[in-house]
Amino acid sequence: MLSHVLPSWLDYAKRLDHAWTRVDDAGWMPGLDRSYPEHLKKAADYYQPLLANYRIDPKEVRALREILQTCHDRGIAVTLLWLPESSEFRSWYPPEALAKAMSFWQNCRRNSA
Amino acid sequence: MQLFLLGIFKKFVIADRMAVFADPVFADPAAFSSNANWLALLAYSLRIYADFSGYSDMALGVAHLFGYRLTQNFNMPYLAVNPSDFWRRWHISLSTWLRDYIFIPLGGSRGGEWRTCRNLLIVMALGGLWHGANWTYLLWGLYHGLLLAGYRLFFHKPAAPARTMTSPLLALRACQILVTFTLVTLGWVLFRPEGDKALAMYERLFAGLAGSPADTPSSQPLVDRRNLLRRHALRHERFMVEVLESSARPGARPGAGAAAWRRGTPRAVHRETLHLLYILMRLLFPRLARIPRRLPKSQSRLRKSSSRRARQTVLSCMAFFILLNVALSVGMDTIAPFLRDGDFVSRRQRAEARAAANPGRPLTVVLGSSRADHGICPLALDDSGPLISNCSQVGAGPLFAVVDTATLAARRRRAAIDSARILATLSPWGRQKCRVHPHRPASLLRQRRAIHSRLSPGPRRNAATDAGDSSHADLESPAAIC
Repeated sequence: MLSHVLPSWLDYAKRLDHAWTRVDDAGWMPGLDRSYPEHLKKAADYYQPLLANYRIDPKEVRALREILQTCHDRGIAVTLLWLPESSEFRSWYPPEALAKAMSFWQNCRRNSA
Repeated sequence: MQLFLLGIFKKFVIADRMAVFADPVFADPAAFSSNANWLALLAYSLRIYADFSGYSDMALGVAHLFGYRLTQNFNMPYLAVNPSDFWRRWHISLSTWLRDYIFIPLGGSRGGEWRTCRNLLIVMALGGLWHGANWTYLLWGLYHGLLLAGYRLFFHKPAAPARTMTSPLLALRACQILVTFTLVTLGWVLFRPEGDKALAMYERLFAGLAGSPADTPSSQPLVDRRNLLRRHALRHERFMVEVLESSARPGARPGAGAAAWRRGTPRAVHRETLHLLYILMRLLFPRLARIPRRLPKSQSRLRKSSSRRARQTVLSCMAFFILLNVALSVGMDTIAPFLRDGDFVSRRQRAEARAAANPGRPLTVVLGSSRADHGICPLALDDSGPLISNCSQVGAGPLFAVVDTATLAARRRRAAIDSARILATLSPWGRQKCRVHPHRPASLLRQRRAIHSRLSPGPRRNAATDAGDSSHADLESPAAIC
């Protein structure tokens, strides 16, 4: 509520109002279109341990199926998109994590075809 | 309740604000000027008091709500006239415990002056260690032990009968308060775990007083604006930084801080005035926030009525809390959904507005996490094809997307959207670094071509093919689509 009414009373890290004040009319949040070495290091510190223990949560899979089902029932077309990643980011994937992800991707494709 | 709110005010309004000014200087004292170090030390002194006594007031207030009357823990300690008086006002529960269980068993003040001083040093050293197992806390305790011992040896006199406060006495008292406050504040330098930084800070503090060449104007301002303002982009803090810098800059003309104050925005002026008024109020009218000590005549009646009041207060608070939660839950789902999920609601409203403004174009909504949020720029893609609107949210995964999809599907008719399509991005790893941006024409064209080929008008599909291995081909490659 403070983010809506008095965002300046909150610490910068706790403010949520950037999500609706900084996006453009079409909903795009600019700002990460440039790369900073310090950001890359922070991202590596954060993502590398996660990718090392990568697993696909059954709840997330169920959620994805539910989305597809809802859209199917309501006649809404769905396109699933796997966004491209930088070469640095791709280098953090262990081969087994990448294999799991590709297998999941292929399953999505087969089940929804 | 008043005490509890007062504690919250002390903690969040005073202590946390003071930390913004004190922490950068304490982190690297040598990089700042002597004046900046003094100001940071003052801010730290206020912070410690507001922090400790704020927590104590909160505990006292909560206990009072339940009918318990706890000991007052702080009694305007910075108005103490000597070190002994300070320890009668500061952290009263700890100092009382130290006195009763360590000082008196050691012999107290019965064995002569030197034995008393030895006992004081031992007690205060242990009191320092109580705050943390570190050499700096031990030194801090010994410093206070020396202050107490020095006061006892050289300045302590038997209690004199109370006299009317005349003007000279008032002036003397003000001087005593100032000296005690300065000595206590200097001790706070040690009240941090980093010993080397404490030494550096003392060096900077006294280099300025001695007029040493070491106190040359620092190339770094009082507060590292670049880092501080990035982390705390609050207007009022920026304003306080200006005021402090104007006052603290070596060679600044007198009144520069006041000039900066006058230049402040009205909002900042209001807030800072509020802070100062509060501090002045506590200094001038210390009794306002104290727990009343007078008891009613009948002790048993007091107990009965206070326990009944406590029960009523607790039950009323619980009922109010439950009702408030129900009202907020219902209200946030029906009247004001933006309060629960401001990010998605604002994006959805933008998408609906664009759809209403372009009735002939089918709407495609992008759902995903920060990867899609930063990675898909609909205005760069959107020229003549379908109307694309990005409703992704930072940190959102498929569980978020389920809720968002249901909301969008339910609102499709209400928002008069003729046709809708959902473009969900698979984001099991969160943030990505792809760039679909107007300044990257080559990648943009490829992205646009790939996405438009899927989204162009044609028979609807629930989910289709994928782009195979190209998903991980290169940064410049089109996204994988299925």
